[in-house]
Amino acid sequence: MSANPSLTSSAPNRPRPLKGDAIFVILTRGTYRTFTRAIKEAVSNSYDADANHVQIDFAPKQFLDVADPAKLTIQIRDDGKGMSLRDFWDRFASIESEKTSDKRDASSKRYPIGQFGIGSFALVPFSREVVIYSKKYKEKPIKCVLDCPKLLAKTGHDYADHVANNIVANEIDEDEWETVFGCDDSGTVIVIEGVTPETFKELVDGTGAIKPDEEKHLFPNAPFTIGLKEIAWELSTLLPLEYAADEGDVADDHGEYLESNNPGIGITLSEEPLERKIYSKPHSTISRIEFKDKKTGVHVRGVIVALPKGAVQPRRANGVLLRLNNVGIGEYRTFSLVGNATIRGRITGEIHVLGGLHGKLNAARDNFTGPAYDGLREYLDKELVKLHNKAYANWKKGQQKKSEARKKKTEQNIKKVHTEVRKAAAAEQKTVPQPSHTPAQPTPTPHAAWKETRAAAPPANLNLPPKPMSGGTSIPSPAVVSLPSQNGFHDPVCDIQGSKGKVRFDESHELFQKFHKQAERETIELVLSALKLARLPDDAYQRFIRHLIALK
Amino acid sequence: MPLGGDYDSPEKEAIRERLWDAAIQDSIVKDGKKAESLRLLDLPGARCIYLHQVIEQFGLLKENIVAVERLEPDYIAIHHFLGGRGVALRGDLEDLCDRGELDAYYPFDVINYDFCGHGFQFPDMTKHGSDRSEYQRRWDCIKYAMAQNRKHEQGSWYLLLTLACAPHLNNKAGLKYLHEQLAELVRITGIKKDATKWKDDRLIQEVVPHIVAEEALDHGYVPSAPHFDSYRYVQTGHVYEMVAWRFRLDLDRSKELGRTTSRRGRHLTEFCSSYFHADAKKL
Repeated sequence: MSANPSLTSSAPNRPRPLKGDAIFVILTRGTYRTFTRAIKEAVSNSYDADANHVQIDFAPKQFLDVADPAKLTIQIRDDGKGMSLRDFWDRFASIESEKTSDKRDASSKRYPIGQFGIGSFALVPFSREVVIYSKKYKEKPIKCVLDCPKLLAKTGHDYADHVANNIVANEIDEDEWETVFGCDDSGTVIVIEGVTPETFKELVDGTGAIKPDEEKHLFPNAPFTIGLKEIAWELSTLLPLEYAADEGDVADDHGEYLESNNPGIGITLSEEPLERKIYSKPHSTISRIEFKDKKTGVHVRGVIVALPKGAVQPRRANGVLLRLNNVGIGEYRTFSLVGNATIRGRITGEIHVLGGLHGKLNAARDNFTGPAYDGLREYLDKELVKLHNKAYANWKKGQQKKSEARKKKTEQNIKKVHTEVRKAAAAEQKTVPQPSHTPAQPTPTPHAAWKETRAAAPPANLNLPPKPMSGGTSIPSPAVVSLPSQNGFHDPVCDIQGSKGKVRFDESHELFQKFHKQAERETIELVLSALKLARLPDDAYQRFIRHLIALK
Repeated sequence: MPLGGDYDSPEKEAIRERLWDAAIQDSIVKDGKKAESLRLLDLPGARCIYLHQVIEQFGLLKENIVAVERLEPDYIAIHHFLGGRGVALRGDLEDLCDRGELDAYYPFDVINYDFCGHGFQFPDMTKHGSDRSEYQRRWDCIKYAMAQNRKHEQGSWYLLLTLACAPHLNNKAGLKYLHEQLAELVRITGIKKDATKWKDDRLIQEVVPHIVAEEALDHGYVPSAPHFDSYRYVQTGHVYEMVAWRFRLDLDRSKELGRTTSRRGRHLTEFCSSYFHADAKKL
């Protein structure tokens, strides 16, 4: 069969070239969904430019409260190697990056961390105007003004024309650079002049990622809005920083397991130094992680920690964070770990990927993919289970100790109440006026007073235990012992040995069936002991017990 | 380089020390205000020399500083200096006052209008083509500061004012206005001075306090004679004559029904007699 040449020749055999604005939007708005991620990309670019310090200056809350989004200024300045005008057009604006994440940069000796090398272009969808000042060693400083709305607007031009038409880039005087930068060193200053209303809202109110109850634990002393706290948290979690001291000294004691192949740098957000931490506490259960898979080349190292008590604070640090080239990938996660929820909430830690996964990031760069990563996940799942079980055993031991201590304390309390009641009874006896015609009698001892009480008490059917409680000498107590009443009342207290602080309870009593939880049980026992020792009248005592039962 | 000279010339340093520092010092020591709660409105310039000083020497907080700058590179430098803690606003102070964009940041304990531009001269614009409103608007900024602080019932505060004094430029109208003010000053104080050899800077230095005092009294503020001071100077390597003043304004809390006018006159006479009695100082 022969083809019809008139038909085939007119049909296109490849797609039409993408318009400049489409490429720009895909690279920026399509890649960076939040302003925070765009800022992170800009700072990553500073890192790749060999900066040791990055300062991000926002506006204070008092400004955000009243200002127009169009008037908000944000600066990101670094002491990196800067750009010349040629660098700007040839490399930066052309998005021509020779960097790959698994190859150290020859001059900086760092593994690149920026995505596509688009740097401050990432800020365009969130801004009205972005001005870049930059100076490279022994080159003229430059100023580039990016017209953001126009860069995002539809156009018929190709990428190069679209970008060139909407950016004004020029060399500037050294004086102007020195005014902006404060000295004549190399570096870059990115100035965002005005943001979109949506970005402004994100800066003030955040994206909802931080819950109101979490907020107070994050940067409590910094002058940040919730939005800025989100940014600060994300940047301090994701970007390459050095570890700050932690309460459990994990970073100090296990530092070699937290070493990355990329150095940390100093980053400040509105003068607040960002810190990276292992959120440990003293006496944490700690596991060192070292995994090498010869087959896939995956090599990771890190530390995972289970706190001895209390959930990880901030809650967002619950789980394990993976790092590649010292950059956090995604968020803290507990992988497939199940088990005790309390223990799960106490786990935190960081794992540095040193090899084997450099090319295995997904498009969103928040996770790894592929069989090599599956192997690592499986390993981490096992390690998390081990840590969980160890921590759970410790927790159980602790619970037992606590329970014993509580029991001991209850006994002490009963004893104390009893002693006080005896003292009070003795004092009462002393103050009772004797009839004038009766000859003076010796003050009865508590034991004698008890005898009198016994004598007055109804006889028989005492619900007494068959023998004294183990370990205690059966000293008769002044308190009334359990009396099965004629009206069918069943006393939950069987016997009381006040001097020993010991009370025997009827385990089968309805009251203990209802208040069966450990803490409830202990409270009920304490209350009953106190009531007995205080010698509450029978009818009041019985009413109280019935009321307690009726409560549940 | 700003009109009038560098920010770190010996003359500027002397002004900072003798006029500005004293204002902050008095607020802290005499008024018992806490340094960390003192609020300052300033036009600091790119190097923020005075802001460095008030923070390091007196312990003011960046959070209580509002800075205004017109030029973009200087504004970026100031914004960075304040580091997201203090407020940096870009634009002409005159425009910001006009649009009420500073309202939210009042009151201030110290307002430092270090204009380094002209004021109170009203040159003949028809001949020189510049914008006459610049002079009026600069004065409006002073009135706006008084009105805003009054609105917030700010008790005592300092107004620090610096202006450049251009040569006469054959400005008969402007000169006439200044001489009228001088005549009024002579009338209310009864003090006569020979002004025939005075240049603009001296004339401005002598009459402006009277103008400011009248305006302050209209807003319910009494200018304090003991706290007033001023210098005229020319910075090293420059030709422009500058004048700097320090005013302390105390909210008049002693109002009595029906006696406002006479009390106002008395305060004005007391203040003007006190400062006009002495020779205006020169660095």
